[in-house]
Amino acid sequence: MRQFHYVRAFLLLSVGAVHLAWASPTDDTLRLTITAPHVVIREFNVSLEVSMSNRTTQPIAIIKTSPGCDFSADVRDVDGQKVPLTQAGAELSNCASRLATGRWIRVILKPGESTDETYPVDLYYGLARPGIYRVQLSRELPSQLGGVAKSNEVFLNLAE
Amino acid sequence: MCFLALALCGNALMWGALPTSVVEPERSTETAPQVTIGQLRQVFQGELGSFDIEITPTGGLSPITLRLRCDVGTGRATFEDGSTEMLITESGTVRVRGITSSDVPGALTLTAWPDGSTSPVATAFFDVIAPTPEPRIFLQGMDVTGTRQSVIVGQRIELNVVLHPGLSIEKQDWWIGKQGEYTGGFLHTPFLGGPQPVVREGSTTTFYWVTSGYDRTVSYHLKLANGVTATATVIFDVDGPSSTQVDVDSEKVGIDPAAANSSVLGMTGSGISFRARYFLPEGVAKNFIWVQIVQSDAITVNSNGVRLHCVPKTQPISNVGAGLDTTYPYDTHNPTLDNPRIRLSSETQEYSRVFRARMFLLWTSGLSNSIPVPLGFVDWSFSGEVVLEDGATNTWELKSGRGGPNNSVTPFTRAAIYPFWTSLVPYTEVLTCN
Repeated sequence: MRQFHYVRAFLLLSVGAVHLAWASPTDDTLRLTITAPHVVIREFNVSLEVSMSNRTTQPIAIIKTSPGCDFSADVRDVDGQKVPLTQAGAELSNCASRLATGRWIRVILKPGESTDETYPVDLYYGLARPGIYRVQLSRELPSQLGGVAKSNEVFLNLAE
Repeated sequence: MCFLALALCGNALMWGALPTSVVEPERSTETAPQVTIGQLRQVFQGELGSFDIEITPTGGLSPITLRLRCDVGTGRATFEDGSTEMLITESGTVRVRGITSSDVPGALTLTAWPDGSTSPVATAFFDVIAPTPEPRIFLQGMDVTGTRQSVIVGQRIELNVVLHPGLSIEKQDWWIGKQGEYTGGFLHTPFLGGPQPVVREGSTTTFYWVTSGYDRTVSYHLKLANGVTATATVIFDVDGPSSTQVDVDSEKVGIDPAAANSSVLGMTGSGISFRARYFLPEGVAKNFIWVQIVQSDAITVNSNGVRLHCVPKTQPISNVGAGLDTTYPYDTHNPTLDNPRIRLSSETQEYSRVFRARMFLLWTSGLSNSIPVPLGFVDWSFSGEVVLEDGATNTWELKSGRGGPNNSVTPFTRAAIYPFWTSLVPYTEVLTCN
C-alpha cells in the first residue's frame, strides 16, 4: 500500500526590525531598567528585512516580485487600530489584475535554506510620527503547499 | 588675572566678532571710571588695527593704563610706539600693530587698568591675523593637510577648513578630480533616483569616491578680498573592487502553462541570470546590489481585431513604461534573476511584448554613512510574440521569441555610471493602452 507522507510544512517569516524594549521592575528590592537607545527610528524609508526559511523536508520554489504583491501586512497603531494603506500604497499593492511582471526572481529553497527580502513598510502605509506600530507580515505559500505563512510581530518606534 | 580674563571672555565675548569689553566698576571706589573697549578694525600681522576706548564719566579722572598681553600661544601685538603699555586720560581711539599672528583664537587681550587698581575694569580679546592665511584641511576632525589618506570607494569624505572669521573672503572652493571619479551622493527613492552633485563652494565639501585610484589630489583654494590667495591639499589613495565581471545566462522564450486554462509568455525556467564576480581589497565584505532600470516595455494586444499598444502603468506616467523596475534594490543576492512574464488571456487573440532593461551592479562597503558605487551594467532585452491556438483550452503558439543580453560576446559593460530614474514601474496594476 502506498504510504502518503503528510508533509507538515510551514514557512517561517522572521521579520528583523527594531524591537521596542521595555523593562519593568521585578520586585521592590531589585529594579532593573533596560535602555534601548537604538529602538527609536529617526530616518524615513523604514524597511523590514524579511527572512523566509524552508522548514519542510521538500524544496520550495519562492517567487519574488513586488513586495507589495508578495506580502500583505497587518499594521496597527499603539491603540490597536488598523493603519490603512495610503493611496499610493493601495495602488502598489493592487496585484490581483496584473498581467505583466517586471521583477521576477525564482528561488528554490532546499530544506533548511532561507532567503531574505525587504518590505518597505513606509512606502505602503502612512505611519504618523512620532508613533509606535505593531507590524505582522503574511505571505501566500506556494501552490503545492497552500495556505498562508504569518510572521512574528515587531514593533516600530518612529521618532518625529 | 588670566583667570579673570577668560571668565570675562566666557561671559561677554564671542571669538570672531569685533569684541566689546565688559565694564566692571570697582565697588570700593566711588569715583572709579567705567571703561568700554570696542574693536574697530581687525589687527593683521604687520598692519595697524584700532580699538575705541570710552571712559565715563569724562574729565578730571586719573589716567587709565592700557596693556597688551598674550596669555597663550604665539600672537604678539604692540601699540604704535612699539610698547605694550600706554596711558590715556580720556576717551579715544588707540591703534595696535600686529607683530606675530595668533595660533590660538582670542588669546591676545587689551585691558584697561585704573590707577592703583589690582584688576582691569575692561578686557577685549582679539587676534593678530596672518597676512597670508594657511588653511588647514580637516577630515573627521583630523588635520590631513598635505597628507596621504587611504579610503575605499563609497566612503563618506567630509572635508572642512576653519578660517578666522575676521577674514574677508572673496571665494573659496574645492577641486576634487575628474568628473565620474566622485559623486555628492546617491539618492534612491522608489520614484526618483540617481547621483547627486557635489557642493564645492565654501569651507566644507562632502563627496564619495566612485572609482578606485591612487594619487588623487583634492585641493582647497581660497581667495581673499584683498587678492591674497592660499591653497591646501590632501592626497587620497582609493581602493575598491577590481576586475569586475558579470556572466549572463539566459533561457529560451516559451509559453508556460502555469495552471489549468492559464498560460504565461516568458522565458523558460528561471529566465535570465546575472552572476557577478570581482576582486576586493583584503578585509572588505562582498556585497551585491542590483538595480534594474526598465528602458521600455511595449506590449501589443490584438483583441477581436482591435490592436492596442500598451505599457505597464508607471508612477509618474512614462509613455514608454520606463523607470525603476519594481523596487530598490532589485536584489542583493548573487546571482540574481529575471523573467519578464505576461499572463495570456484567451479573450485576446495575439500578444507581443518587447522589454528592454539595463541591470546595474553596485557594491557597498557597508561602512556607516557610505553609499553604493556602480561597477557596471548589462543591457538586455526580451521579446515574444504569440497567437491564440485554442481559446477553449487557452493554448497558444509561440511565433517568435528572444531573450538575453544585447551583446552576447561581452554582455557586461564596466562603467562607473549610476542608475538614474524619475519614475517607478511597479508592475502591479493593469496596463495602460491606447
